[in-house]
Amino acid sequence: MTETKQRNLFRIITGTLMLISGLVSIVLTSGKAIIGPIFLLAGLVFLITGIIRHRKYGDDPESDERSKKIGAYGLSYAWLTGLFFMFGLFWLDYLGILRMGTQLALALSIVVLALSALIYQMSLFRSGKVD
Amino acid sequence: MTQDDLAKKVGVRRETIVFLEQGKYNPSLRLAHDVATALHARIDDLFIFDDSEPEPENRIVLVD
Repeated sequence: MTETKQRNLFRIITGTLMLISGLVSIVLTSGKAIIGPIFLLAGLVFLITGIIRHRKYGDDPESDERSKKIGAYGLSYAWLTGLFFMFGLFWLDYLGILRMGTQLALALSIVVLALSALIYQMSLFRSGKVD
Repeated sequence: MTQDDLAKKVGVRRETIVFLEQGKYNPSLRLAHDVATALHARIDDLFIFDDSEPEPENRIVLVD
């Protein structure tokens, strides 16, 4: 059995066990213990991830030197985008053009960083132009 | 040998082989060596360094 298949099998088994544990915990505590829903959700995530990755990659490696490079490039560009975004936010606030609370500024920064990383990586995967 | 076979043999994804063939990806020396070994060839039989284009467009191109 390949390493990829083994890893996905591990994800599926772990997910199923956590799902069952979560369900049992919910039934036994009548839904009062918080650990039940947490196990249930975590199990679902493991199970779905395992199934999707198994269907998508099968025996193929999930990552190689090119995909790792694209991942790193995507994160670097996203970091730079985040820096410009925060720079812009700072000056907009400093000059009194835009007023926003810390919570909103942080939330926007998180969204910009995560979304831009995803977009850069998708674009690099599609164009393949990474040295 | 198909792209899929070669990809499996050298332990990369099939798209990486596709981009190598199209000259859109510069492989590491390790990958170039593995591809050459899998195809029973030498690295310089398979790859040419195209320096006719100005930097940074220089590319290592997998020879047909």
